[in-house]
Amino acid sequence: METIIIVAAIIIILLIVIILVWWIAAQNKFRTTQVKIDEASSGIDIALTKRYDTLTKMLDITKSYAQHESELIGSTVQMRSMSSMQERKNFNDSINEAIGRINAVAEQYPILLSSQAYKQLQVAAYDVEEHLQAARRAYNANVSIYNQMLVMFPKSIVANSMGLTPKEFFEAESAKRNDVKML
Amino acid sequence: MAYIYNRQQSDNDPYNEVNINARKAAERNAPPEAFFYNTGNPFLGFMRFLRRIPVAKKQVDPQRLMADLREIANTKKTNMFTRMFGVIIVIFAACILSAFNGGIAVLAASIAIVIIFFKTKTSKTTHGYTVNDYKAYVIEQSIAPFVDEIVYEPNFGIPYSVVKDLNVVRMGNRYSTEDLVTGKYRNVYFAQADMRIEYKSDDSTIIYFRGKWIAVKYPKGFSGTVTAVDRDYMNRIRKAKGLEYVSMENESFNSLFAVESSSQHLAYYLLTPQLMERIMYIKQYARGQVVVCFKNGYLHIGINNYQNTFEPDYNKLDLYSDIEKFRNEFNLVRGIIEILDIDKSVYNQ
Repeated sequence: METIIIVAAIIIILLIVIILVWWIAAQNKFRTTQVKIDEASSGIDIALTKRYDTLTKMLDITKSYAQHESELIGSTVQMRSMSSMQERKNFNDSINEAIGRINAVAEQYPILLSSQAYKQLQVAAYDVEEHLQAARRAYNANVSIYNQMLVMFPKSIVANSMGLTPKEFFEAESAKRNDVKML
Repeated sequence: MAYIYNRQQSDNDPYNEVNINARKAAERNAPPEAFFYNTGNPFLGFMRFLRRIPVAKKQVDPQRLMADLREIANTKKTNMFTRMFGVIIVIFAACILSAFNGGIAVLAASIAIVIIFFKTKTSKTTHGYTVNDYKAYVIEQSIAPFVDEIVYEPNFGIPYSVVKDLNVVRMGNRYSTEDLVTGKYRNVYFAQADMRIEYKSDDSTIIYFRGKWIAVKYPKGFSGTVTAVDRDYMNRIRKAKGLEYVSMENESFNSLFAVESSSQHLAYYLLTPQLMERIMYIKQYARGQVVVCFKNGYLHIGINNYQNTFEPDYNKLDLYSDIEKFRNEFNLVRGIIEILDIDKSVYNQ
């Protein structure tokens, strides 16, 4: 009888240890994913800041050809603090719109369009845009993994105990979503 | 510097077939960066240790070329027949001689067989064309309409130290590479070559890699390393130092390839969704294992499918079939460059 009790006690202790180890591992997994999300999120912020800088430089160059239009476009986009993904998305949308308007203005001034400085800025804008896309994909991939873990049993128990909530995705620009809309 | 190798001119060695071993030793000891030129086609640096400048293009008459190739094919068949006949005669003579002195008979037979195998008929062809001329002509005809600055070097390939530096494939103790084709497609420089990496021990030979290696100059600037290695490829180097595992958003790609990178952002920047699809297509099309590595401004793709780029089929010589075959094979390189979308991007302005 005593042996049975000892064996049962050992099994229970082992089970508790296994659950404890699993619990800690699950918590660490959540924390690691959160760090990755934060890293990807800062990647988005860096890319957005670079986009804004490039936009400012483009506006400066355009100013010498079309001062009024340049100032008008510049007034629509201002650097702001971004706490949510929706704010980041809105900021990015406004930069997109401004770049589109600058290109439209540049079309009217062939000298500006063919200038080396403007071309270099276009290259820079293209490169920053690609970095932003990479940061967005990385962020969304991490958020997807994180959100899946939150709802999957038994990890959902750990998530609830840690008070974790689903993260917001960084949505593609509405113009780009329309590009792939099926008719 | 130890890796500098003196070139010498040699009119009788158009494809640099003399002193290959000395040249290869110099190549092996050179640092990887020594093989990429900063201006023009960077891959011409692969031939930095060439004993002479790249071979000038020959004017080729296709009919005469094919006539010479048929001669070469016939010579090969004759050589094979002569060897077999010679070996039978030697064995027969050795059997008779062994009745008088067994030791001398075995020694004489061994020497005779070695001579038979190494003494092959190497007479020149009627019009002076070689198999390498044939290959050069096939390559020129296949890709010249859309590739600029084509260079073909039959005895060159991707240098050992360049592949070793990527740290994705186990290097074994035997390395050979040949049939280098380099040029410019849509303003992007590329190189491709056949490659074979083995580990040879006393009693066995293990092939680590055998197939095609493609390198593309990547016009976008990046610093760091990204590797995507086929999970089916057993001879890969796992978890290279300084790299972290990255999970991509494409689940199919993740199940087929293990991605490691200096940073997650770099992996997502370089491995675009289109490129991932293309890599999976290459794996399916080439029926082998695929190794991808971005490093030092270059994209490297290795296809381990145990196939050589092309060798003429001596039993059934067909120039137009070979041209079509090489053009189809080159479509892999075209597809990669097109999918990278770097040719028409603003980077080349």
